[in-house]
Amino acid sequence: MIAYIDSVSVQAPGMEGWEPACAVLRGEQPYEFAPLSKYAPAFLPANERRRTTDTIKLALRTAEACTADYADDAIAAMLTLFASVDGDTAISAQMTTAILEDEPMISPIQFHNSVHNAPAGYWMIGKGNRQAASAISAGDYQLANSLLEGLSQLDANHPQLLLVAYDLPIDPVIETFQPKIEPFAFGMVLSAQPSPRCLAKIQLSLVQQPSEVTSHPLFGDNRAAQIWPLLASLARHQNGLHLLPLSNSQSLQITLEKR
Amino acid sequence: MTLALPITASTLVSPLGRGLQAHAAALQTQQAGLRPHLQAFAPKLNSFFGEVDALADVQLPPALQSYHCRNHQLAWLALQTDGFAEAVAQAVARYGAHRVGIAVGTSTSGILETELALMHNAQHGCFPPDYRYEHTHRMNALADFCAAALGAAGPRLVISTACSSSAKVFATAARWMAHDLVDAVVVGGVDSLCLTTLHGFNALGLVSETPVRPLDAKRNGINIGEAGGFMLLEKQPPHAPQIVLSGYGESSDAYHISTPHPEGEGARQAMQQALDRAKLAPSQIDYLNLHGTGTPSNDLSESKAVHRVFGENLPPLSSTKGFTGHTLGAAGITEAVFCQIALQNQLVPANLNLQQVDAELDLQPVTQTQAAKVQHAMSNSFGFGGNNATLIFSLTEAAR
Repeated sequence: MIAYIDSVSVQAPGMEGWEPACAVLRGEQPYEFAPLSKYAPAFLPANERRRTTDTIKLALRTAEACTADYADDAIAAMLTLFASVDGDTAISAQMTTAILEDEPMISPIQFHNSVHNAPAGYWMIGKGNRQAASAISAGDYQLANSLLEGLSQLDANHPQLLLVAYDLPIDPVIETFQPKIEPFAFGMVLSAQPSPRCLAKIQLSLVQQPSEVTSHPLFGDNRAAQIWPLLASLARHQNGLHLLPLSNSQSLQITLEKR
Repeated sequence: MTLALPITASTLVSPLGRGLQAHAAALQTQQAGLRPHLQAFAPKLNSFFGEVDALADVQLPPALQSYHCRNHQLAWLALQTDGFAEAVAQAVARYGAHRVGIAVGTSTSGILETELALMHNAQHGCFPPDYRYEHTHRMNALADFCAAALGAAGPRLVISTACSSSAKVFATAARWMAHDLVDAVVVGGVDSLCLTTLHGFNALGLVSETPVRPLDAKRNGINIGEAGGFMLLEKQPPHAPQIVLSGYGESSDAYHISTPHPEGEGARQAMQQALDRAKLAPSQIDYLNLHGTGTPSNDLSESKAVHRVFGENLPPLSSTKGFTGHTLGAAGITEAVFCQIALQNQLVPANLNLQQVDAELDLQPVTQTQAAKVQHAMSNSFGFGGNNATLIFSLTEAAR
């Protein structure tokens, strides 16, 4: 499976956008934590905008940053895939707490925001996009399966796909054992055909050997950050060969060819 | 036909019972599975519910104990039904574990386990010692559970797009096969009852206090049900099975987060795509299983989409939500199995609880389960976020 990376963005504390991330990825600057700036999805109608949560906002700001250079009709024609292991655990925590009451009151807005595909829904609404949109979770094997799910959808009729991978810390109300997870998200526009926008070509293949599931030094067990070594190759304009865990006994091999 | 993915095994556990035969019998005799009370927990609202009996008694094997939760008890029960796990074991032996993928859908995963843990915490000031968020409630847990239970080591993921989840898994499986990543895929979905969902839908004013009446003039909301079901797709099975997946379509409404497009635009696109992929004319569809949730807005929107796709010649159609309630993330696989039953038993299932069809819908649903020639059956599944999926299943002989 082959695709072309046409656009990339990173959204994380201290790294809002591809350029700031590049400096860290290239080792030119040390990573410095800074809280994520305030963000509101301006492309949504005001009443929808007010309803978005931190999780939805992280996903949407990443999608927006990644498609900032694209025309509206191009964005509206992209297949869309949102990948998050945990989804919106803050909402889960609030809802599962609310149902403890004798007369449970769950906010209707909270409930419809609780679906794993809420960011995808808002994105498609805000961008007038009627293409297929999906929302997936694959745990420790998140990135490999996200890339397969994304690239396998590209064809002549569906030449572009927006992949947004994001996760936030798990709400302490619902998780007693807290893995270290820092907010991190990346977005990528993947194309079936090369174009002047192309940053790199990637080729995916499956190999029958396991890969270790590792923690990221900065973002911990945030599985969206499994993309980090591949982003480092991109940032350094280098070819790369990367292995990602796909299942307990298989790996996804990604051959990255610079442009 | 360009797509004809053989379905070599399947199973379903729902409020109608356990296994394909129980479901065929229930559809034939029009025995609904909805009741005004629950065994699992005390709901704090009045409605009818589709509950799977004795689910709490299901024991997971010791090696899978850390996955213990209602959602995985339901998954396990389904895997142990209709010889499904054995069929997957044969596929693993035939192709190798690495060539067997898992694509499953759920909307809420094992969130009931978190609800119970918080109740325990409120009463005792601590979480239950065996509470494991990552193996129960975390959104990928069902895929990991199935992979561990079945020994599959191919690509794996959970699709969670609300009520279209376990329909979209078929599209993923078809793509994995098209790219030769796998020889077989376990597709399916599991969603289990929980207070969060009951009260969430209630907050939206979408829960009916009476048995759900899809397409009826007086329909006023959904009944919530639970179900777990699976199908095994094999690229080149040793023996041609009776049924194939012949089409799928996926689209977005781009309209509203919890209200369907008023003209059914996304639904129309999903159905049309599925027909195009199957290379079928609308007139070739012999049965249409509607999403048909029984909310005023869903059924109206879907009816408009159906009219736009099928024109003057509507196929025999029904919503089967009156049998099972809305099984949410498991609705896609539940109704995929109903299409299989329609094809294998040459019947079209009834749309239950109809007193008077809503004239505005301009539909004539099947009111009694009846014998019919069924070669191609279509199923719609639509979810929050305006997320739509349509599947077409065909008799293998008709797909040639």
